[in-house]
Amino acid sequence: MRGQVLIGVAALIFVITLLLLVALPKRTIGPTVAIENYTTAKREVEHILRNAAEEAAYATANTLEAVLSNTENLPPDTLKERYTQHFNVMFTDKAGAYAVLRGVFCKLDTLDVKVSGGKRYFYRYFYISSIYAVATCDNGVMAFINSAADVKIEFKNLGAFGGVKAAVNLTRDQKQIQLITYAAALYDVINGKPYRFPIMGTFDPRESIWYFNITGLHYIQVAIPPEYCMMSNPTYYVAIAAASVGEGAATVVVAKPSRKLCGT
Amino acid sequence: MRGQAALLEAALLVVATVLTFVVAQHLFKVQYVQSDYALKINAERILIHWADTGVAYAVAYGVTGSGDPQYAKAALETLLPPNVGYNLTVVSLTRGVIYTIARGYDPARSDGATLILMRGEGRIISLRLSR
Repeated sequence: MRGQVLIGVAALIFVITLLLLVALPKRTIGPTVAIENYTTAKREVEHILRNAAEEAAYATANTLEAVLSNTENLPPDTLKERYTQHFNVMFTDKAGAYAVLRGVFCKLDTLDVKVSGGKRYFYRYFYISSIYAVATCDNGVMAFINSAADVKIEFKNLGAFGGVKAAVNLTRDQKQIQLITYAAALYDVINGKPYRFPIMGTFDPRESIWYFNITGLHYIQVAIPPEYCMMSNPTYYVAIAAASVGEGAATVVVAKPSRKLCGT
Repeated sequence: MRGQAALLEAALLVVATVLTFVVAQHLFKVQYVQSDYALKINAERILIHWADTGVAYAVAYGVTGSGDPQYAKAALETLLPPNVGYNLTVVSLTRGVIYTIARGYDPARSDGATLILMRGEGRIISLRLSR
């Protein structure tokens, strides 16, 4: 009799174990790749933000034509607004593609763009000086970028040509960026219509100029053709876009002289 | 007769207990039984390292935009011992496979990871390692 009870108890335990096996989710013993998976996901989202920041700089410089209708209508706030719009568009586009690939939906939580500028002698300039963006995803990943730009502009008389020398220093998390890409163009506003004159590269990360400097300080020097630099009352803007490669640092510089730049 | 019955009961008890232990093992299923956990984690760590140092962009895009297989080969072979095989594939989201490089790769004994970069039209870097 006692034996039968024991068998009954053992059979009961066996049946309960079988039921648990079917009903409970599988558990994992030992190490998992959860940390690496999370780190990979975080890096991927961080790089989406970085790429959006860089490509938005080129897109902003590329579409300045759309907002220029006279020689004075590009205040710093417009540059900030344009950049913010492009950043949003770039991020949404990339996050959409990422969602299709990984099944993870990310949204831009914070985007804080600052514009700085200066006025020296006979010219004024302004540029994107800092970018702070935070993205959150439905898998719990949160990523951010924090980059800054410091730019000093100098216009020069080079005889037959005019010259612009931009000292650009891009940083990400207080670390100087050594490899950048850049492009420059001139926008001349005539009778309310802007015309573009490409100077170096094009405002596309794939067709821009690569520039490596171990010090992290990049001198971007561009020449202004005689037909423009001879203007005694200049109607043109010089636009320069500079961005890191996958670091999330970028800037758009817009400069305008107020007198003749070249000749005697 | 009673002795035989007791023996049978004891045997059944032992069988039930052993079966319970065997079945219970499956409640704690260990991951990566057939693949190699170490290879997966190594592949993930290599890709994370590449993402942190910018190597991922050189590998996936290069200066020309079509990736740099020579650079990728050098970058991988400085990290991996000769007895570890690899298969690195870079895929463009719009143009398909850009390039594949491999060394002593055995798909049957492999595991790996992927990294997605969204610069331009986007790239997937797939790194699989094998013993």
